[in-house]
Amino acid sequence: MSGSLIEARGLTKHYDGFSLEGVDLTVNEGEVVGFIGQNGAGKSTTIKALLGLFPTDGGTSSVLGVPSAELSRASGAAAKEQVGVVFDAISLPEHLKVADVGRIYERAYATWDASRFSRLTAEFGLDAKKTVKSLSRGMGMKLSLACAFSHDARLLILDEATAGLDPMARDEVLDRLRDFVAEPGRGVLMSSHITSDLERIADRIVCIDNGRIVFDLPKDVITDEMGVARCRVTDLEKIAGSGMIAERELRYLRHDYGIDVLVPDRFAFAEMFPEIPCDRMTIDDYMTLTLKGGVR
Amino acid sequence: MKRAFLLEMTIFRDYARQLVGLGLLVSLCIGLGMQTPLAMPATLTCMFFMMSAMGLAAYDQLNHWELFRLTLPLSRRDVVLGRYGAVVAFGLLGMVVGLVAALAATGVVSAVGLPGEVGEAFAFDPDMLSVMAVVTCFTLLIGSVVASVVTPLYFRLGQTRATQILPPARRGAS
Repeated sequence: MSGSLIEARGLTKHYDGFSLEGVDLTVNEGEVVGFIGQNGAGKSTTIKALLGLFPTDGGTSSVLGVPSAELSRASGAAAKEQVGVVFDAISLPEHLKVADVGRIYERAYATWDASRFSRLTAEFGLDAKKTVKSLSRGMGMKLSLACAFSHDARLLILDEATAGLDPMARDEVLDRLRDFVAEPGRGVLMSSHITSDLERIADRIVCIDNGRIVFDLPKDVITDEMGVARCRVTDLEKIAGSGMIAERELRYLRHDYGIDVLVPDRFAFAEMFPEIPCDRMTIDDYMTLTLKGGVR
Repeated sequence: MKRAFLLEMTIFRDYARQLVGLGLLVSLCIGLGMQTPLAMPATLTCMFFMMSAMGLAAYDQLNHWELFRLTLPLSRRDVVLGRYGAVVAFGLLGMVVGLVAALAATGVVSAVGLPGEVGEAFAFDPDMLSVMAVVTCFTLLIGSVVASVVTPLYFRLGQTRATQILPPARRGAS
């Protein structure tokens, strides 16, 4: 598919006790794809499989048109010049100073922009003489992000990259990601538990659970069209009986004081059931209703 | 491969500096203990080959560096060749430092004129240079063989696991 920066079809990997099963995932140019799922669902495993860090047991995947299996070989290594990667914790030897990290990346990337790195580390408040070991988790993530932004990448793959950042730093990073993806030919795959960040920046949300893709939807469909109806038992029966939502698509979650019902079109719902409160759907709510909700 | 080699050199630079200081002290002590400067370059050559192989492998396991390194524009082949290149470079560095230190020690002893067996052992002798070169080359061979055996094991198993397996494997083999 033209314009695909990442393409995975039927990606499969088996471990003892866990498997990725038939994962399909694409990131197109100009897109920010949010990748969500519970802890241990397979987000990081998928990302590492896409980067060719281990062999897979089935399916195909490619990054910037290069098969993932080739990325660790001489034939495909050059493609990684255009890929910026941030893992969920800083992944550099801890004795290195911030300045040493800049040197490492300068030696690794032909497109390294040392002045941009200096500027970013200064803006992020990173002292060049501090060692990786002495950085807090948030500062470590800032260093990783500074590195990812400083070599003219086309694709950013971020695995929980905003975890540990203070709210101001997260705002700044999200602004930079918006600027990044505004340039032609670029894209971002971003796994995150902070779904409020994804609501602000993502174009599409992909959810994985137990190694399988559960949904892959435009973010606006979730947050702008869908709703959560806050019901009582009688309301649920009324909704089910109206036929507005197909029986097998009627997802609900019981709480101590009511029932939440997934509503595909909250505007139509509000017209049909003006007496039942219906809130905007959040990514969190949609994930919870999809993964834990009952189906009639 | 050049990129991978330069990465290794950058990562190991600080530890290599400490190793030079420590190695000089150790080799001087061994030289004085054995009452010959021939031991000095031999000690440092072997030491640097083995310590660089172990030390670089140890850094691989810090913060999952060995996995993250493959997200950089390097191939596995680059990483392996860069590792061997770095081990050889540090081994040769040890050899040069050892040779310079041995010559410096003999020069200082000759200039100061130490009495006794130490003074005699460290007195400058042109014939000693060729013997020193042969001994150093022999330990270079030993060090490089050891490094070439352990390095693939470190890549395959990780330095921690390989260090646990190697001694029993060696005992079993003997």
